[in-house]
Amino acid sequence: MDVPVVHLPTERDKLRNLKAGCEALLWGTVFTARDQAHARMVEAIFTGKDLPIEIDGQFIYYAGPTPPPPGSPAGSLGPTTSSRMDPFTPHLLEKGLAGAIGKGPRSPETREAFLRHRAVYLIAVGGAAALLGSRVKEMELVAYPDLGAEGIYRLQLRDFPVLVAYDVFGGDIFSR
Amino acid sequence: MRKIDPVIIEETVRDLAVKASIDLAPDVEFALREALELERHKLARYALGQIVENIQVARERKVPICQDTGYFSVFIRFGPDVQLPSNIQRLVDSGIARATREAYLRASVVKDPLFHRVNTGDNTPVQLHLEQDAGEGELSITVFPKGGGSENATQLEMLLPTAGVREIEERVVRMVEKKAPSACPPVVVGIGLGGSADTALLAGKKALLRPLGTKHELEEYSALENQLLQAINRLGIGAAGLGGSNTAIAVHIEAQATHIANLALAVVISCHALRRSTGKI
Repeated sequence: MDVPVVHLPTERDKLRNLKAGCEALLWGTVFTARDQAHARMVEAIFTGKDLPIEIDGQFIYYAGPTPPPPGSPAGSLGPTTSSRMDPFTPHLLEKGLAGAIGKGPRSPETREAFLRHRAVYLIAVGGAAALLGSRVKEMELVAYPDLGAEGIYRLQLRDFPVLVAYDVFGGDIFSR
Repeated sequence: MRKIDPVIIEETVRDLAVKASIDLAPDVEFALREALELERHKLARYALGQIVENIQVARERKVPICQDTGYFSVFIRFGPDVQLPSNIQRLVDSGIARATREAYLRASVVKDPLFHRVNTGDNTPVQLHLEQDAGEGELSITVFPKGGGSENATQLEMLLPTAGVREIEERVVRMVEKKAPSACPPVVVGIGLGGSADTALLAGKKALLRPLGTKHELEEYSALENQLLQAINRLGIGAAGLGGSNTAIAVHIEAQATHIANLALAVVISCHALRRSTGKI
């Protein structure tokens, strides 16, 4: 069977087609953000400031890239441990975040928040970063430049392989 | 007295750091390929397939195996008659900074853990360990970058000195069960036993340097390593935490002298991309 392709950002309705445990290939736009970018965005939400990117309907990829070598749009770019973002993710889901890509299971509270907001959690293979980086066709720094690799980058993905970890029906790849 | 040229130190550290970051060592690649071959779980095979493919892609693209190019430890072992340059920390830092720049490694080190988490930009300072335990005239350098995710899986317990093999086994399995899922399994488990709390942790890290596929020199420890590996692989965490029979590809123990009241147990976990490279000068 062919692996389904998901074009991002996507309409909410189409997220229903993603079932926990299934493979998918991502095309299109995602934003990187990891620990410090999450802390800053949630601080902005708490203090009533604007977020540096519009996250409604978007996907966040928990990752911090290596610098691209000359002639390459990206270097190595695999997922980092998602659970470190657990305290922040529910606040971003409330602002309309449609999904996240990372590695490893989440806290029960965060898993519940994905379900409540009808958002999906996808996982990429941790440590397969040279392979995953080769599926990144454009990479542009869009926020928090002082954070270096921890800043927010807009990525264009092509054939980026993921598994669906949490689907919108409560399915969970880790509890099978 | 054998006097070492400072330039050689810097160049060797640079070269070893680049090699470790991009070109996974044959012992680790062999173990991962074997894991893929033996794995029957579908999702785990998906993960191991990408992990093995990634090793080749990194070599071909000449990019790091993982975007987390790690926090660098450098171990310099030298003989009693070898005279190291006096500015050794600076030379090693300079070698790692050059590798970071020239091989496009990610800058992943901040200068202060709490109040000033400002990136140093070049992966310095390096954690340098000098050990005067090599043979006459010998000098070897090992560069060992370790990712932050797997470092968060490090654990230490101070056991009663009367604890037996059974208790060690139970505790290690529980510690691995708790932390391996987020440490990019299949992991390599380094266990430091004995010493004091600080040296147990260092022994656990050094246990990861031993080539995979080699046995502990003492029969009892070798048997315990095998027992632990089997028990860990019965946990069912599996590659990328998705299930299957490959939660760990190796368990290595390093034991050392300790106080009559102590039995320190340190568990230091490496992700599947166990990157280390050694050169002799």
